[in-house]
Order: sequence, then structure tokens, then C-alpha cells
Amino acid sequence: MNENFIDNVKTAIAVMKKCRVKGDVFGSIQNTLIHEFEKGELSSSSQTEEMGLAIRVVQEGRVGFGYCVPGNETCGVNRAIELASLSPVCDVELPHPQKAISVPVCDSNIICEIADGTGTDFLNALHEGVSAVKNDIALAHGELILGTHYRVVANTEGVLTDEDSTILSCGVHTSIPGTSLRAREIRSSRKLDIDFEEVGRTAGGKVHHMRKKWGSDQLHYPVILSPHVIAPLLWFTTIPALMGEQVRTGQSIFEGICGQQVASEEVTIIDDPTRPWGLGSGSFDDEGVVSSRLPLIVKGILKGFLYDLKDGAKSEKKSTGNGVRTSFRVPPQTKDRNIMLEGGKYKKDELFEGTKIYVDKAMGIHTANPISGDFSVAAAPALVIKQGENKGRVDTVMLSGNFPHLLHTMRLGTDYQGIYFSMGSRKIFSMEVPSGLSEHITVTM
Amino acid sequence: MYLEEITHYIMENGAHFCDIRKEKQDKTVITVHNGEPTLVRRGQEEGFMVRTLVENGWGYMASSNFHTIKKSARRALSMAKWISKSKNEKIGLSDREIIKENRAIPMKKNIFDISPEEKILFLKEFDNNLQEDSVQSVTLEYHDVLLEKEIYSSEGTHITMKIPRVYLSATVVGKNDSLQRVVEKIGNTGGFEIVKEAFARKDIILNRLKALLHAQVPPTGHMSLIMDPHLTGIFIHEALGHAAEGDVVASSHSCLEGKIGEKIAAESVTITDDPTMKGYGQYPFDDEGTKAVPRILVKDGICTDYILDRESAWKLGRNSNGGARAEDFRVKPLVRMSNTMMKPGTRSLEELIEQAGTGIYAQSSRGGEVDPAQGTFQFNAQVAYKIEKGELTVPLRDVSFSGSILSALQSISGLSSDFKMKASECGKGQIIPVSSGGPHALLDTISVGGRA
Repeated sequence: MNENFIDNVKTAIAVMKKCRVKGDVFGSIQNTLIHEFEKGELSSSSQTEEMGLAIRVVQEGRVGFGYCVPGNETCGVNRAIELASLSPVCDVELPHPQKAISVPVCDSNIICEIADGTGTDFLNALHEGVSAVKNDIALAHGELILGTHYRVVANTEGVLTDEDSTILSCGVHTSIPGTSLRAREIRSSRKLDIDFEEVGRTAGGKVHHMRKKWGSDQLHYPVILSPHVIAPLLWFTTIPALMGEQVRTGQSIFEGICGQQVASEEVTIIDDPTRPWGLGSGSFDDEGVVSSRLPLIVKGILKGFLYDLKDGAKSEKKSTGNGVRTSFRVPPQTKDRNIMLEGGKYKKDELFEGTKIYVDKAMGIHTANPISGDFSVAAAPALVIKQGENKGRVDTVMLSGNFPHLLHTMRLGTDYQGIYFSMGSRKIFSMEVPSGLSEHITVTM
Repeated sequence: MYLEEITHYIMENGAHFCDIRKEKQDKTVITVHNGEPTLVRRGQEEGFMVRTLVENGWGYMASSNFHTIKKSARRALSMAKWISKSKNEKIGLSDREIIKENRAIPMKKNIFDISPEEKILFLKEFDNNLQEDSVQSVTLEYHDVLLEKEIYSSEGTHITMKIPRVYLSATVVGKNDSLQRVVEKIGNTGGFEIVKEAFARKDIILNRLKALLHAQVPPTGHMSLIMDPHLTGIFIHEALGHAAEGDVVASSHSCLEGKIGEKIAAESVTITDDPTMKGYGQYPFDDEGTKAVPRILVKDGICTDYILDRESAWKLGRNSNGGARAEDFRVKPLVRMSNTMMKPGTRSLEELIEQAGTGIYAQSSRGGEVDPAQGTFQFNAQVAYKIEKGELTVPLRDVSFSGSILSALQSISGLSSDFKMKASECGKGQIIPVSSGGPHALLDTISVGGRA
């Protein structure tokens, strides 16, 4: 299959050369299997397979995009050439063949599971984990996603590189029947190594901790945000400001302050797609640029920004290997790939010393202001923890602040977790982050 | 006809029901930044989904490879069979009329008759209209798409439909002490005529940006809130619409479960979801091939209906009202909203401000989120104003609201006579086009997540 597909990619490149244009082709074959469960039972299985070619041509410095299914390469190239004439001149320089690095991101066990698995074993393990917490807790619903992605990038400068990757993601919702209490746990991995029983135990434990209601209206305590809250807050409020194009167009709070302190010395943010088995890792980006570890903020000092080929050309910078396509239907965009929020050093008992508000899930993080970094979200719910002991939940709590400012004083834990957020088969972001403690979040009850 | 052959094959091999949804899209996307086109993209794609029910188990297989459609049918069938072996909960589909019909939503200005050059010219002109001293950048994103669908079911339903949609978003960034951003969206079914409306939004966008550039951080606590028509739309979409989706009701994940016939909102509140009305969420048939009909979700404060597909309707002992929608052929249909609106009242905005006395007047939205099971929601305004002594005073930025769905619906104490709808996109694992709106609405009390 892949050999034939590579032939389609080569055909598109040959058509470009015949038309005397430069360009690249991104080919993608995705296969996703989703097992859904409802009220403790498997309720459906669905599989999606799709393949396509994204075609980008550069004609007299103008860039045009098209896409097509394999077999329609000539049509795809011609459409891209037509559209190139409408674009402004932008001297995108396509990469030349580089020495490839090898990043492990493909687990054959996931491929086998897609072919033969029925999801039953995972569900049984989840059940065991949930019931181990307390027998009145139910596995309400959830899903298990198994995916493979084969991608190939070729260009008229001689680049031809390909890679297989796999992903496994499990989202579980637990409930206490007869109440409105619900909790969620999500785990993701490149490998078939998730301990589903442990996931069930964690999801069960989360809803178990919500049983008791906090009996006071006193909530003036520091806030601990779990990795499930830190990751999307960081992505919606701070990562946009690290995009080179946002800086160039005056839409970044980090414009003109490279080399300055923008966070506490404990905070380091790296985009590292070379990390073995990283949820966003890969040997090359979707423009064929070889991956590298990119420091963005090191010990609080702003070190650099993210670029793809086009944004790099506009800013007179080289691509940082951050040209990412969410599917073959869209052109590459500058995007983070595998963000690591490093520097966490506080153990759980240190973070939870005294009285704290703990938030594991928040609603409305996507409504945060991506330009200013301000956010105002609803905890769903918040727990009050005294000396590490859960004192009860508070149902309606709003948390507000400015996330980039919080990074000046936030204390990061050691409980690192890989967070993978997708919409169907489209990856939105992937990160490795710990919990964070802040005394500067406004809490409204 | 090969779709008929495939469904026969599936049914002969042990299925109780199956359908095939075939989709074709022709989409153009143009982005203009500060007057320069930065992206012009056009592409076509097509694919299909085979959906199979065996006893109580569903199997779905989607692919863009039509050469292997029979193999996909076999895979959907085998998945449904393995699910049915382990599943005890019964599944059924509500009865519906067998329909054989072709429908097309008309375009006044056909999107394929307007060249990409003309579309760019229009966007440049609109961009030029938005450039002012306080404006740092303008980004316009234009999409048009013609969606062609064919649905064939084992019961004999055979539908084809053509739905053209046009969407334009304007993101305007301004700077003084801080960077602020206003996003305005226009979208509808139809042709290029839709974007003409953009010029009428110019003053709204620039006034909102000016307000934001001088805005204060909002106060915190419980207070009265007046929502503009757009925000009222987001509020009912998040606070009521998601909880009224039949799949979450039938699986006991909604605070509206068992509430039909009960008073859940103030008496002045009537909320409908209508896929048949002109709007970004319009469609003639849903993705199960059921004819779309308007649904009155709340009438005079009483919960009267849910949005239903065939499975959730069967579970709840009702009939499907055409609520099954899928983002594209890759994903299965879920119960989704369409054009959701609150019926206007009789008051003026000025009267509502006077009635509130003290509180917040909030305009437009960056979105929201709901937990239908817990019955809680959050949504956010693009810009707001303080109400002090019955008058609007200082502008506020980054204001969010949160509360309990049922308490908030009960606390609506005034509705204006004006009414507006606005296009947006709704995410529930899949993104679909919707619209929502209503009048200005006064909520007596809501939690405001401020910082002052």
C-alpha cells in the first residue's frame, strides 16, 4: 500500500517538474478505530480510513495550494498553480535533503489491535479499576481511540521522507448514579502501554472525592491546577504568543523582548518533537524539515519563536521545523509539536501543604484571550484540600487571571503527564506538563 | 445503483438496519491579512460512511476510497456483530417516513460564478474599511463550500441534497497599553450574497475594539447581567441547547432528563431550535435522512421537547425530529443543534438597563462550554459595560459568566423586543455550523469571574 502511495507522491512531483514549478507534496494515510462505551458496555465501534495528497507549488515566488485523492495528481498540481497567481510573493525556500534522525513513534501492537481487537479487554480492565474504588461508582461512558498515521513528504529539491506513527487515547467518565456527580480521566500514549485498570481507579477516585460538599463560603486559598488544566491554559494563552508570525504582525505579548525574563527561573518551555514516544514527536515536520529540540523559554528567559517555511521567510528566519498540517486538506501552519513545560520540582506533599483549592477540570478554557493571556474559567468542580486531605467540593467556582503573568510565580510539581487533545482524528495539541500552584488566581464562588 | 446493492448485501448478511451516507465537498478558503491575500486554497473531496446495526450493536466504517466500499461494508458489519455479542442494553430506531427526495438550498450569487480574484477584491475592500489608527492588524478569513450528500437506507429512504454555505470572520487587533482583539463572524446558507452584510458590521467591530482598548478588568461576584442578542444566543446554546440533546438525555447525562412538562425557566422564556429556517445551521434532512422540523424546546418556561435522532427518540419513546448531524463523512451523526433562538419580549434595552440598576451589560462572545450532566455552564463576552445607577458606565474586558443551567433560566426577568441571529461553530468532538440568537435578556443574578 505505502509503495503505491509513494508512487502517487512521486507522480505529483514529476508533474510539478514538467510544469517547471517548485513545490512539495504531503501525503497522508490515516486509520482510526474508536470503541465507545456507554453505561459500562461497549456501545459502538467505528473506523475511519482516509488518504490524500496536499500539493503546494511555488511559482515565481508565489505559493499556491491544492489537494486531491491519489490518482488525481495532475489536477491537484494544476489547481495549485492556478491559485499561486493570486498570492503575494513570498520567497519560500524548500528544504534540501538532510540527514534524518530516528524518533520512535510507532508501536506495532497498536496496529495489530486495530486489525484484530474488539476493545473488550480494555473495558474489563477499566471496570476492575473503577469497582476497586467503591462499588457504587459507575463507568458512565467513554471512548478508546487507536490510530495509525503514515505520512510522506517530498519536494522538487530532492526530499523524500516518510514515517509511521501510532496513537492510543482513552477517555473515561465515571459517575455516582442518583447524583449529578461526574468525573473524567484521559490518558494518551504512542504505545499500547496504558494501564487501563489504573485509569479506571483514577477516574473512580476522582468522582469519589466529590461526594462531600465544602461547608464554608471561605475560598481565599492558593489554587493548584492539575496537568489537565495547565496544558490547555498554556496552549490557549501563551503558546500563541510564541508563534513567529504573531510576533511579526504585532499580536504577541513577547514582541521585542527576546532575551528578557518572561517567567520565573523555574519555568522552561521547550518544543521537543525529538523526544522518544512524545505524543507530538516525529522525525520531520509536515514540510520535510528535520525535527530538533527548540528552546522557547529557558529558566524564565525568552529564547525564541516558532516558524514554518513561509512564516520563517516573512520574518527572515529559518524554519524551526514547526510546519504542521492538521490534515492533507489544509496547508502547513506554524504550530507547536511536542511542548514540554520543564522545571517542576515540588513534590505532591509540598504543593498541597496548608489549605489549597485543587482544580482538575475547568470549563471554557478555549474562551481565554489568546492575545493578552487573560482567562476566566469555571472549575468543574473545585476541591478544598487541607494538609493533603480532601475537605469537600465546591460546585460553582470561577478562576480568573493572566496566565503568562502567573508563570512568573507559579510553582510546578513533579507529577508530569502527557496531555493529548484532539478533535476526532485531528490533533489539536500535545504537551507534557505538571500540576502548578499559584497564589495569584482570583477565585469567585 | 451500487448503494442499493451494498445495503442489500449488508442486510442479507445479518444486519437489522444499515445506511450509507455519501458526501462530496468543494471548498474555497481565502485569508487576507492587512489587505494582502495570505492563503488561497481550493479543494474537492468525497467519501462515505457505512452505518450498520446488528441486534444492539452499531458498527461504522468511513473511507474516502470508493473502490473498497464493499470491504468497508463488511468491516462495519463485523464491528456491529462483535458489539452486539457483548451488549445487553436494547437499541431501537424510532419509525419515520420513507423519503425519496432531492433538495437544493438556492444561491442568489452562485459561489462558483465568482472568481477567486473577485472574492479577494471584496475582502481587500472590507479590510480597507476596517483600517483605522487604533487598528494594529486585520485578518479576514473567507470560506465557501458546496456540500452534496446522498443518503440511502435499508428501509428505502433515498435522499440527495445540496447545501451551499458561506462564512466570513474578521479578526481585528488593536493596541494601546495592551493588545485587544475583536472577532466578528457572518455565515449563512446560500451564495456570495451573504458577505455583503459585512460592511454593516464595520462600526460594531471598531466601536467594540475602542471600548476594549480602554476597558477595565471586571468586578467579581454575583450580579445582574444583560446579554446582547448574540450573547443570549450563546447562553441558550450552552445552557439549554446542549442539555436538550437527546443522546445526552437518553444516556442520563443531562439535567433535563425527565423534565418534559416541568417548569424549567421563567414564564417569558420560549426557546426553539429550527433547522428549516434560513441560517448557518440550516439543513433540509438530517444525516439519517429524516426530514428536519422545528423543535420548541421550552414554551412559556415549560420544557416541551428535546432534539432527537432516531436512536435517542426510540429510547425516550418519541419520534426523531431530524437532529442527527455529522461534521463530514468521516464521523457518525450525533444529536446536534441547528439554529437556536429565544423568542423576543416586549421591552427596550434602555428599560432593561434601568431595571437592572447595577450590574453588567455584555456584548458578543468568544464562546462557552457546558457540562449537561452537572447542569453547569460557562460563557464569555467579548466586551462588557458596567451598569451603575441604571446607566452604562465603564467598558470591561475578559468577562466570563458561570452558573447552574436551571437557576439561570429561572432568573431571566426581562426580554427586549429586538432580535438578532449570528453564525458560529459548535464543537462536540466534531465541529458543525450553527447559529443562535434572541433578544437582549436580563438575568437577575449570575456569577461573574472577574479580577477586580
